[in-house]
Amino acid sequence: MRTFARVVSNWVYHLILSYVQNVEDAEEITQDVVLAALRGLKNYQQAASLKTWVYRIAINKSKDFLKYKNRKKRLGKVVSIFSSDNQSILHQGVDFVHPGIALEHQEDVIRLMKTIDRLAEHQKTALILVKLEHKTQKEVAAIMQLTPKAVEGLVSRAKNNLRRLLKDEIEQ
Amino acid sequence: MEDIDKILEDLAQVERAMPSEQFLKRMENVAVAYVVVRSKMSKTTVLAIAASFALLLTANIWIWNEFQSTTTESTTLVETDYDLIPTKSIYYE
Repeated sequence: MRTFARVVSNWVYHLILSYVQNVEDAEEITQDVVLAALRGLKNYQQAASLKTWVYRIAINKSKDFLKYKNRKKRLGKVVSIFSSDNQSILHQGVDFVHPGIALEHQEDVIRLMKTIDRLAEHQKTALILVKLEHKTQKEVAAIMQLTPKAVEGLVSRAKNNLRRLLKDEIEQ
Repeated sequence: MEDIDKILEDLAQVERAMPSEQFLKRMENVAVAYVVVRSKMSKTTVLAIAASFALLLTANIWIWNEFQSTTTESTTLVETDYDLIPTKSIYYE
C-alpha cells in the first residue's frame, strides 16, 4: 500500500500541478486521488491500464476542484458587492511559478500557463497531457476516452486559441 | 511574444515536478491509515451499526407518536370535563 501511494503520487502530481497551478491545491488533490484509487482498486477493471485509470481520476478530481474554486470565487465576488471588505474575494490570480521552469523562460511560460487556464476544459486537458506529460496522441485518447483523431483536433484548436488569446493580450 | 510553437517547445522542456519526500511520506501514512480503518471496520460491522441506528430511529418515532397521542387524549379529556361544568351555576343565583 505504501508503494502504491508513492507510485500514484509520483504519476499524478505533475499533471495536477499543471492543471491547478498551485502547490497546496495540487497536494490536496493528489491525496484525494490516492484515496480514490485505493477505494476503487477493488472495482478496477483492466480494460484500461492502471496508469490510464489513475490519470482519469486525477483529471476528474482536478476539474471538480477548479469548478468548486470558481464557484467559491463567484460567491466571494457577490459577497464583496454587499460588503465593504474587499478581502472577501477569494483566490485572486497569483503568478504561479512551475518548479520545473528554467529561469530564462519563466516570464513566457507563466504567461502561457495563465492563458492555457483560459482554454476550454477538453483543449486544456489535451494540451497539458501532450506537452507537459509527453503523452502520445494514442495515450491521451485512452485517458480522455476519445479517438486519436479527436485528440489531434483538440490540440490543434488549443494552439489556435492560445495564439489568438496571446495576440489579444499583447494588443491590449 | 515569439511564435506559439516555439513557446510550446519551451513548455515541453519543463522538468517534471516531483512531490517532496515529506509529502510522499504523508501519502504513505494516509494509505496505511485507510487500509487499517477498512480492515477494522468490516462490511458486517458497518451494516450492524447502520441497522442499530435505524432501529433507534424507529423506536424514537414510535415513542414520540405514543407520547403525542397520550397528550392529545388527556387534553381532550380535560376539555370535555371543562365543558361539562355548567356555565351558570344555580348555586350562585
